[in-house]
Parts: sequence; structure tokens; C-alpha cells
Amino acid sequence: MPTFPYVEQTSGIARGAPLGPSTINQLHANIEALDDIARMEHFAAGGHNALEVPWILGHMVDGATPTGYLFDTTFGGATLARPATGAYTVNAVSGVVSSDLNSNLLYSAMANVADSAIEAKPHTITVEAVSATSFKFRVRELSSALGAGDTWADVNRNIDVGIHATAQDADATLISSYALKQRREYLTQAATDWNSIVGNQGIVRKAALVEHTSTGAHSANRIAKAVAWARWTGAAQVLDADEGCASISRLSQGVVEITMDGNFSATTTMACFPEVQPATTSELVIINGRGFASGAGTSTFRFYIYAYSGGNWARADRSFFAAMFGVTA
Amino acid sequence: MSYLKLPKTTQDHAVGFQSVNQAIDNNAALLAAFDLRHSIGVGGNSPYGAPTRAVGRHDDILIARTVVDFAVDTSRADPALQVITGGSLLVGGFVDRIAAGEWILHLATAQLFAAVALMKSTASVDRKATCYRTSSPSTGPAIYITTWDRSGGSWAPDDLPFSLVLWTQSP
Repeated sequence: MPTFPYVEQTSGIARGAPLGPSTINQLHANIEALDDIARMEHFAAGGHNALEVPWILGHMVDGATPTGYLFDTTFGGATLARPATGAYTVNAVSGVVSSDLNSNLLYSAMANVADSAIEAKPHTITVEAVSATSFKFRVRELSSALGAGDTWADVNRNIDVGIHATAQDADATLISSYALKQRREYLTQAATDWNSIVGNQGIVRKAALVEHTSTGAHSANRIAKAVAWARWTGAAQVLDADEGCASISRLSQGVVEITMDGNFSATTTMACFPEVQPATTSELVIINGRGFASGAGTSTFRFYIYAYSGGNWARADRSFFAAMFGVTA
Repeated sequence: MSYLKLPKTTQDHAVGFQSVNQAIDNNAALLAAFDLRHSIGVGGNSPYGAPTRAVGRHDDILIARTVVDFAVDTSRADPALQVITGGSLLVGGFVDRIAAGEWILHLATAQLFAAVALMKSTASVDRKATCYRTSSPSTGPAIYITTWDRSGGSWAPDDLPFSLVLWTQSP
């Protein structure tokens, strides 16, 4: 792992103050350090290049040929298929695999059944890395009625998926070389002189703006718009910790709705990845969630929690975590 | 501190102190922007602290702290979880097997938020992982992972592979 020089801010220069070589050299060094910071987990052109940021993330709508809304076109273009009941494959485009997903793929994944059917039954989902370029997700549904058994079957459903993979090696820099100043040397219009300061600042800023706002927040849709730790107090669901959420409400036993704070577009597909906290370490629980736009400026995710006991499944109130994704409003 | 696009110069346009000052401000503005959601090391506003986040790493509650891919080493009489790949959260942490299908991940950070686990399978089977987060003064933050299987006709813990996405929060 490379180490980077710490960026020091040079003091402002006053009219009449000497403008020595150290100031100009520090300006160059600062830009170089900023570029190094950026390329630690981003490509030189600006896209993210980190294990923790999914390479592919999106919402898949069930069908003989599933349709998918894959967030961020940079890594979109994957093809989707349903080779069997309840089985869905995501085949990444070759360019993505060779350049981004890494042929020696080490991956991790998130998945969530996001169909209206989760309102009535718990669903499970598993993942298989078929190859370095292909991932298969399998969906199962409780086919028994709630409170009346524990039979499961393959089923076709809409799902949310996120695929992580190891990062690529850091890109080579795009900033140009510069000429360090010596005492008694002057600024010139040479490409390696003052103009390289201006140009290199522009390169670093342009790359940063690809998947960040001008103030530094992330604007990539593969990065969560909101996260929440929803805690069941025994009487109500409360947001213990969150970012991007406006409110939470318990609609009925095991049914919880979280409303976004307006950071989502209300007209686009959304995805979520919840995980429920069991009451004890030996309790089996399942949570499924789905996002939906419920009007201009109002986007919500609704979660359904089920617990297993005595050979049967039933709705249950539990604490849970959720990471929620969507297109910026 | 705002970023202002500067003009390149020609021989007829001298670089004055205003341009130099703006270039300094531009660097500061870019640094501040990176500092918002990335670690810039000493002097930055990293909620995790510089020692556990290398310069340039993401430092954002909206991005997972790390993702880990686990396999089960079945060559041993007492199966063990193998970390196929993982990030910095497990540095200094370790995994214990409590019983069949029951694992505890002791973590090296105090800001544990949550874990999202997904079972791996090469066939259509009934599997589910559950995550129970806890924190003990003596052992620090930990996650109990139970990997459930229904192949025997009823749900029971079993030693099975899974992938994990770990999230942390700002203090």
C-alpha cells in the first residue's frame, strides 16, 4: 500500500510578498498528493475502484428474460437471464470483467427479494459464482401458509443484487509532469510550469466530479443513499442511527416503513439490502424489503420480518439494518 | 474555500499573487472535498481515525466498511472459516467456531454497525444466514453468524460458506 505525503496548505500570498520557489513547488506537490489520494480507491478518470463499492448493483424484474435496472451505466451492460424457475444469472460484460471485476475474482455479494410477494411470505436467496463473469442467484419461498408449516419451493421474483470484487491496481496518473523551481527561476508559460498547476488541478477536479459532488459527497448510484439501524423497543420502531432517512413507522407486526429524506428520485427503481437482528443468537429470522416511489419527493422502503418457531413461520417485530440505494433526485 | 477555474497563461498574461492565491485555495477546496467522505490522514475529519483508515480509503457511513468472502475448511475434524478475501475490519480481529454452523467474528473496530450476510450455494437449497451483533467490554464488538440449512427436513445450523458485507457508523 503506497504512502502519501500529507497535503499542507500554503499560506495566502499578499501583494508585495515574495513569491519564492517553495510556494510554487508546494503547489505542485499538493496537487500530486491530491491525485494520489484520489487514485487510492478511484480510477484516474474518476470512477470508484474499491472492494467496498459494488461493481454491479441493481434491481432485477422477473421475466422469461429478466429486465434489469443496473445502477450506473459505467458498470451496466450486464445481461440477465432466468435459466430455471427462481434462478437468475447476471453475466457481466466482458469489458467490465477484464478491466474491473478482475479475472481472479474474489467476490462478495448482497441480495434481497424485492417483490410484492414478500408481503405474504418469507423468501430466501443464495448466490453462486458460476464463473469469474457470471453470478447466479436462487430464490426460494415458503410455500406453506404462515403458521401452517415449513415447506419451501423455487419461485420467480424480483430481486435486488449487489456484487463486490477486489479492486484493480491503482491507475497511472493523468496529471502532467512539472518542473521544480530553483532559486532565481521564474514562472513561465511552459507546459511544465504554471500551466501545469492549472491543468493538473482541472484534471483532479474533473475526475472527482465523476462520482462525487463538488463538496465531496458521493453521487454514484452504486453507493447507498441511506443506511439505517432500526431498533425495536418492544413498543415501537425507532431510528437508532441513520443517514438519509426522514422517518420510520411500524405499520403492523413485522411490517416497517422507512421514508427517505428526499435524496431519492421518486420515479426510479430502488434497491435495498436489509439484515434483521434475531432475538437471540439461536433464532432463525428472515427480512425482505422493497422500495417504491409513492409520489413526488416521497420515497419509501417497506420491510417484512418473519421468525421461525415450532415448525412454523410468523410475522415478528425485530431490530434490523438496511442499506438503501437509488438514483439521485 | 471555493474552487475557481484558473486561466492558463501566455507570455502576455503574467501570473500575479491573486492567481497564486486562488491556486492555493483550489488545492484546499479539493482537499476539503476529499476529506468529506475519504480519509486524508492526520488532520482529516475521519470518524474512524487515521490509524485504521489509510489515506485515500473511503470513510463514509454509506459505504461498507469491508466485504468478506468466507469458505469452510472441511478438511479438518473441527471445520474452520477461511477468509478468502477481506478488508481492514478484520485486521486484528478473528473468527471462532462455537458449534456447527455457529461462528463469532471478533472485530477490531469499535464502530460496528451491522452485517449483511448471504449464503452461497451451487444448487437450489434452503439456506439462510443470520447475524446477531453484540458488544462486550471484554471482547469488543462481535457478530454471531449462524448458517442455517434445511436439508435434513428442518432448519438447523450447519457449516456452510457465506459472504458478508460489514458496515460501520460514525461515532
